[in-house]
Amino acid sequence: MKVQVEKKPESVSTLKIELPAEEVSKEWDTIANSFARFAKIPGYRPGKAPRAVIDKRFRKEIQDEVTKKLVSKSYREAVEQKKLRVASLTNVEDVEFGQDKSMKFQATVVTAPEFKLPDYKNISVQLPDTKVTEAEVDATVERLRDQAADFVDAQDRPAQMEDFVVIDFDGTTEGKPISEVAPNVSKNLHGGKKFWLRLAPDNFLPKFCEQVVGQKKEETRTVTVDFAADFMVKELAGKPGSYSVTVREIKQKVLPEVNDEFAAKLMPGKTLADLRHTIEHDLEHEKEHQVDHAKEEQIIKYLHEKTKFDVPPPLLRNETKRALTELVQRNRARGIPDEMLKEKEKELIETAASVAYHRLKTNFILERIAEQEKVEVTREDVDHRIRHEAEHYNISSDKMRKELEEHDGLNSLAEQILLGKTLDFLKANVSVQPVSEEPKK
Amino acid sequence: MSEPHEIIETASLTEKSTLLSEKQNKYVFRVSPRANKTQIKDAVQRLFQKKVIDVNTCNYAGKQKRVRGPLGRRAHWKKAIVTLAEGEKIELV
Repeated sequence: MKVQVEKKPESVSTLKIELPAEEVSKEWDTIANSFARFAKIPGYRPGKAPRAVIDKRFRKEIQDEVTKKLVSKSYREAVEQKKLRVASLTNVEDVEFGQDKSMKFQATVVTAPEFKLPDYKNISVQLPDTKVTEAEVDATVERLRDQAADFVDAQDRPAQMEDFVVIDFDGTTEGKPISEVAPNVSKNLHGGKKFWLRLAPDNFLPKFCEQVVGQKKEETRTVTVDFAADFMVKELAGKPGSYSVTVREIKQKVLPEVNDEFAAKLMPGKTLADLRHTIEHDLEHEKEHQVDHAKEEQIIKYLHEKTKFDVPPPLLRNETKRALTELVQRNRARGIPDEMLKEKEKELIETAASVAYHRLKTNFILERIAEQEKVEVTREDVDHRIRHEAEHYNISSDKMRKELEEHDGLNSLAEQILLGKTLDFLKANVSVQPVSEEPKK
Repeated sequence: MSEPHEIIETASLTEKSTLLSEKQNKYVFRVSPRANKTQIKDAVQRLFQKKVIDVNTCNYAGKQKRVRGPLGRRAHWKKAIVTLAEGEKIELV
């Protein structure tokens, strides 16, 4: 096998591969024989036609088969022979068969960039503490208490701060209903019926709650507000507004007491001590997760800072496209209309490009480390992953495997596993430098 | 009718003819019914530049066929089995 490598800009290389006749004719024979066994040719019973006739009649089909088989095989061999780091195969072209059944073709590949790996062992990372303090558990309990709070009607007393009032209200500005002046803003600015409002300074509109304080049930008051000059609704900015507010109900928030009963309500049959224990466990788990994530982030950041190379543009383009589709899909799923996405097209593309760049660079670095450390993906890894994914989508693992094979997903799956394993390896080889936790707000 | 292509219509490629050519160095052609053995011998020798030692022929009557109504008939034809001299060969495929 003769291989010629021609380097082109943008990390693209062309491989000119020539296969000797023996190799091709061997493959040709097996394929032609398989054709001969079933070929129906006039004048012959199936399977009885001589090879010469088969070769002539099915020349094209056999050639296609041979090409399919040999191109991928010889391409892989050529890459190995020339020790190229191939990131992706873009194109195979000019497949030619010579008279003596030798074969020639040209493959265009994108090679991985050359760069020097930094020292990736014992990357120093700073990790937050995983210890769960009593105070944190207390805070969680408080939050649960808050969620389990009851709203009780306040008995015949005027509204106070920290009460919840249910109001009917109508807004006007300069004599006109706000719903006419600014029809496109949030309905809550127009007014409403049975609107729940927590009385607290600076809640809702400025100085609104203060004016409701002291109001009694079924009492109507006029509340005036000044919309600030930089108010987000342009139609209302800098204008005075007035609301006629009728209080329908005044409710008080009553927090449940922290005791076994409270715990049993959240987790049937459990005591308060159990609840606290579970919370502690959950928090610990969460923190561990955070630490893991922080580790990963810092490792990747370190690697990015210490390596310098250009990501091949053709790959970057592809990856950007993929990232962009992902972004758009995610935004659509979040219910953002297409027009809005179109407006932000430029921004989205930029984001996608940077995401793509980051992803590719990380992949390149991790792949290189995997190579150096001989991290390999075993069959069990793949099986395990497929089972896991299948569970996730709630289908049988056989079906999952089939689907992946159909869509050429097994390779990318293996790559994912490889990268994950490399990352695990890096994580296991870090030097941890504990820092004092950031002051909590 | 002296040109080779006027005499030899086509080579017959069947299991039988393949066997004949492989085992007995005989080649089967479909020829014009009006050609005689000498003409066939001549034509093969000129067309393929090979030495012919024997020609056997047989006439075939075209089959009667009915295509939507009137009875018709496929053309009559002649088959020629040509034996080449030892060592001579024709690549028909």
